[in-house]
Amino acid sequence: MILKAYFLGRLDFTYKGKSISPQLSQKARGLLCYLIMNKSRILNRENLAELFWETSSKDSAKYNLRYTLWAIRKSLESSAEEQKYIILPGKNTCKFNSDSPHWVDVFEFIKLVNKGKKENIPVEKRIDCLEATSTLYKSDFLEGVHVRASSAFSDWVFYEKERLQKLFFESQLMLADLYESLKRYDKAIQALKRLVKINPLQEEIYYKLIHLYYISGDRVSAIKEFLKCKKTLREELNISPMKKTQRLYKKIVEENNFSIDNIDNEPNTTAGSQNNSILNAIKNKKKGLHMFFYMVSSTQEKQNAEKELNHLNTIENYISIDIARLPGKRIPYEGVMDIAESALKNIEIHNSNSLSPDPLLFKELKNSFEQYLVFQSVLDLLIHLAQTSNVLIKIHNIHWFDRETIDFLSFLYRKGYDKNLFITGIYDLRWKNPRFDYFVKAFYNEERIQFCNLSIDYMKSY
Amino acid sequence: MLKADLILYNGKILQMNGKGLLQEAVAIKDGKILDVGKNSEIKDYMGHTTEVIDLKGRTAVPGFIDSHVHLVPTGLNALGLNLKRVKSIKDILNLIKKKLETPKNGDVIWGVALDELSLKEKKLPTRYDLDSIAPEIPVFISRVEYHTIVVNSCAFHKINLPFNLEGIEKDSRGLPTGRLHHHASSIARKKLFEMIPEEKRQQGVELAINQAIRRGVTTVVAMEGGFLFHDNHAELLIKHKASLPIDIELFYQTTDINKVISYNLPRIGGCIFLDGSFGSRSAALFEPYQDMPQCQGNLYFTQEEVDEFVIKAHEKKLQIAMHAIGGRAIQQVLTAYEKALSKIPRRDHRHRIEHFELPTDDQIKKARELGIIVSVQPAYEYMWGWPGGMYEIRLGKERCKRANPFKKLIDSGLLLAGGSDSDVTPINPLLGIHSAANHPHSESKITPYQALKMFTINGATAIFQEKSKGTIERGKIADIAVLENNPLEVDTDAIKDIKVDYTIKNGKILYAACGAEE
Repeated sequence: MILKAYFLGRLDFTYKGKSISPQLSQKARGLLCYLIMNKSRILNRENLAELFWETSSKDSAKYNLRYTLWAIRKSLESSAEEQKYIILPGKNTCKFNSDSPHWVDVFEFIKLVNKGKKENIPVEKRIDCLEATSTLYKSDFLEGVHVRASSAFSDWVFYEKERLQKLFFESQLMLADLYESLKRYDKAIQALKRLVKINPLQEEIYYKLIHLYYISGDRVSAIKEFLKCKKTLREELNISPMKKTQRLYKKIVEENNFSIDNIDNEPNTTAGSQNNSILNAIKNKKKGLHMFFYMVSSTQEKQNAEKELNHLNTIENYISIDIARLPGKRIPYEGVMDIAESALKNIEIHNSNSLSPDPLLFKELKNSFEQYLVFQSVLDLLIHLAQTSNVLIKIHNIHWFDRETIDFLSFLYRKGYDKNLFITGIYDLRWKNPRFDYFVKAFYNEERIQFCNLSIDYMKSY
Repeated sequence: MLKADLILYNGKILQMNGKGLLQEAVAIKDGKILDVGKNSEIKDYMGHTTEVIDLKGRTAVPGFIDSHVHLVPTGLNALGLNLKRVKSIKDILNLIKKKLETPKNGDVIWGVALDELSLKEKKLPTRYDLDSIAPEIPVFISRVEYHTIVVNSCAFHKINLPFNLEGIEKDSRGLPTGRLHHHASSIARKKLFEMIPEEKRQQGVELAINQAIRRGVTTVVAMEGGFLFHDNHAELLIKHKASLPIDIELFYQTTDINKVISYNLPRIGGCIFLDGSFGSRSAALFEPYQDMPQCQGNLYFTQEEVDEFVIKAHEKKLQIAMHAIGGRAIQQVLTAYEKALSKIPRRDHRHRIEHFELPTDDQIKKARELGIIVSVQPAYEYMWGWPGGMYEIRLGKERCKRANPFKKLIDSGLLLAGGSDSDVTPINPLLGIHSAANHPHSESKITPYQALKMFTINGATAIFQEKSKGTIERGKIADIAVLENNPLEVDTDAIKDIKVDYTIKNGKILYAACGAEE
């Protein structure tokens, strides 16, 4: 490898093991970085000249570009090396030669994050990849680099910086989740500490840290972390920690035999409310319709929520309907049809008197009245089913649902309020479903609908 | 007989000791008051080296004490660009350009007090606007209430905000506009304070102190550090206060009790914001705002947190001060003080409530029972209390009459210390006295004497210094302001126009107005 480029942190280029940055002007360093980051594209020289010398005249900008490209090429190719790093495919174009021997920290970083995301490779391999990202991500993209008279270049830097920082957050959160699942809490803590260093004001990270310290048996550090969080939020933003964080702290301080799971079991809370409450509702033979949704934002959380759903299979005397197990965005009414079909199957199994579905279910709907009739028909099926047994509908990937099915849930809540129907599901916040977001907003304060583990970002939108 | 270093004679000496006697002369020795009396009595203290000032009928009052000043920010704002009067974005850019052309313009440019509604564009500039004139040096422009800051690209680079910080405004392309709100604005403000070098901060303090001296102030109660400000402001004063020409009594605005104790400070707090302000509709009211019925303001602490802080600070025998403007915030702090005092009774605690702008009758009574000192800023009424003013807009015609009820507070037996909250209002005790004596609502007006007490003896009492300051009496520190006219004799609506002719601190003349000797 001859040319190495370091963009995550201090900008530097090494050629044959020696830094060439001192030989390059600020603009040349910026230009070389831009060319490398866009190595798959052929770039128009006029545009490049304007990007870096926006306040100069056209001719002067072009001359400056020509000179700067020459300076870069000189510093890279002054020896007898055959490789050309900067190539000029056309009269007015130029490009970084992607076939040249080079290594760029950003590309390596992205590659490792993507590899670390893959769930089909062994956990230890994923951990190795994600750990390596933290070594590469020394600091933010082009930290401290400000190229004179080039606001468009600044814009590009801001954009890239944000994109890469997001990826870094994603990678470290994922890494912490994986470590936690392996009970390697010290490592999970290390990963999250890296994020606190970048954003010391993100309370959700503190919450995770306190939790990890606690479950690792380090009560003292858990308490210290809370106090640090409280002090930082007070001094920087003049705000108190979230109730959820305060409750966790209190439990740690006050209870000797405290189980971390209890944190999310606290009643009347907005975030992390009443875990397993659908199970409680069923166990306690609560009457009427109840809904309970898990809001997840990581693979680990999704897996945990799936476990909870599967755990519900152990309950006896319930007709259980599983839908939306497979990925993929649903077409209009697909979810409603799935519910109807499953209900019909169960009616056939549990009831010898078969019930014919309304013919409207199978034809194109022309207006909202027809939509009403379809919704009512499916509700009738569910009510029919609920006459003999309690009904539990489990929606494994609610984020894939079509808007009509989400509207059906809303309809169900209003029209089936007094029926013994239990609906639960998983909403993966990473797959944004605007219709379900509306649903949350509308039913947020409803007593019989609960949303568990809302992430802080999600909560902020309300 | 001892001979004086300085004698002021032929004047009206308002001793402010409650005896109502108007003396003619005062003798000063070794920075202390040697004697006060008739010209003939004081004449005996005159020696060969005694400096003598003929007051020619002027009035000497105890050196003023401003009980609530954000001193470092006042100085820094004075050094920054004042954008109060700009009419367009172009005006802002011209001011920045001028600043850039000034030699030694520094490493960072900041502007304050911008109100976009007074700009013809009716919008804040963006970073692109600022880049067009200042691409190489960080620029920070603060809105009038500090909740929004606009930065140029260079500053945006330097402050390096994390992507998931709330309040970074983006354009349709997802790029930052440079306008920073809420949390992002708070952090940008902190970063700005960090970028300003210490020598600049010192320069700012000197500037603010010189302004104070010209207004007859000899003691400033400085509220520094913490949210919206920066701890390096408090540290700066701790480091340099002994060398400053007037007394600086520091309230470190932190809830970190150990930190305050480590500096041997006898007090803690200041503007620890339990709520916000009327201007930004964040003062926590019992009833909604008149001009925004869905809004009742915000409480920034839970009761539990206030209780916890107060009891810990009280246990350590610290004097506590907290910012509370609306009734709900006042209730929070009173509740916390009551709990602490019932758990650990202490007679002379002198805990304070800063601002106390909209208390209920019950709260006034409770504050009196608990022995709380109320630190008020009468010039708020001068700025916002008039018909059609901000108080009326935010609180409505009836409720604004209950704001800053100075007479009721004094009648109930509360001790009121007067301050400016500079630079919300300028360091100018005579303006404060004027504002209290000319309160827009007659039922809240107080006498000029009562108002004068707020900025002298009461100010001293509010920092445990009434035995050494606040009156002109034998043995006390010779802190004196000589006024062109007697505020107790001029028309009350002319008090603000009285000029300060001399400011004397520890017996030394710090300021003599042009022509004062004539």
